[in-house]
Amino acid sequence: MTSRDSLVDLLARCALRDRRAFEALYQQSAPVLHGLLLKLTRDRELAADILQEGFVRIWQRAADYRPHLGQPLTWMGAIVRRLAIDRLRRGDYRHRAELSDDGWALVADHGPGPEERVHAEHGDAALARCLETLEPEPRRAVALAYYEGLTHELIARRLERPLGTIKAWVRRSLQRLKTCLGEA
Amino acid sequence: MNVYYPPLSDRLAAEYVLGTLHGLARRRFERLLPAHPALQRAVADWERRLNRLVAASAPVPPPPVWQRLERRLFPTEPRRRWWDSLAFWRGLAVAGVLAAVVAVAPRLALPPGEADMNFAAIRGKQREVLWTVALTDGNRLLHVSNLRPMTMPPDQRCFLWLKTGDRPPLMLGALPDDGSARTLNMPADMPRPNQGDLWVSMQPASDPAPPAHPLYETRWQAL
Repeated sequence: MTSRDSLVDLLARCALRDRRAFEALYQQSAPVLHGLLLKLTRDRELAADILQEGFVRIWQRAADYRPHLGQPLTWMGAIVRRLAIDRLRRGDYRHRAELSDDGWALVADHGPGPEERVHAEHGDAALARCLETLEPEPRRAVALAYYEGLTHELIARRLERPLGTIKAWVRRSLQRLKTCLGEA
Repeated sequence: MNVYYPPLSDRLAAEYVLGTLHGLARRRFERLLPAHPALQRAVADWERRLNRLVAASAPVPPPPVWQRLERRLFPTEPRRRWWDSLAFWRGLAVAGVLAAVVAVAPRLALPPGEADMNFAAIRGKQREVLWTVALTDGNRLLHVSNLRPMTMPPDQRCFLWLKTGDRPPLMLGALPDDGSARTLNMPADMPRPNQGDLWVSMQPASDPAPPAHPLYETRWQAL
């Protein structure tokens, strides 16, 4: 059984309220989701808080997971990332590290180790490479939305550009990412 | 929004996953989502594209969240005390003493937070007591008792929330609706659960998002 199969299987058992499956799911996926949350929040307490909240939701919504629509980790990652964005938007952090100039630099800083590179080439690295093809400012706009949960308005204020420009940058950047990732 | 027009639905899904679809547009999108498989597929595609870094995130051993999670989702039966007894609460309610206790309580009361036990009665539209809630053991245990079995719409449950100031309500747990009592462990990191108002919402069991308005609302009384 591959690890993907087993996460799918564990989620299915969680939907049937199997607590042991939930514990196994937690053991297998919490480290990766915690790593993601540290990247997003840069605040240990907040990351721990969202991790707990995220697993409450994962348990409650396990029945909503559709294997044909995506990988279990992507589904769980989307849940915790959305919680993180909501909390960051509420200004709900106390110990956040200083913001770096470019959110995407974080991907490189905390990137996978050598043993994970093969995996990463299909994940993080492919996305990072495609992001490199964007102009610096539009890339920064996308990064601010993705990592900091900023709205168009807040990005416009942060980058001191008109709202219309930001909206166009984000829209075009997403389209270019789609093309670059070979799925246009 | 015409979600049947693929370029538009793809664009909305992209901005939804990125997080730039917000406010009214996001709420409308989320309302449309459950009924539109094409939209669900577009969202899943964008989550796959943009959340690639999830699978590639370097694993970091999580903090000791599991114990807290387990206590919150699967509370075990604690030692029984006089106030744990369902018969006690029923007796109070049936005798109509409950109203007297609640009426007298403020005069006996220590300030909220200083009391040994905080108590609340959640009343229905006809002022009938539907649940009693007691917070004990240094705010760690929440005893909830459903005094009359309720007929619930399919897939709906009642949830108890703590509403403090302008912050979104925090979920305390699901309320029994079958005439039973249960004890919930409060998350250790929850700040002073005896402060603030108690809200009850009725929501899909699978998706209890923090409600904007309560179905029922009450306050703690210190005993």
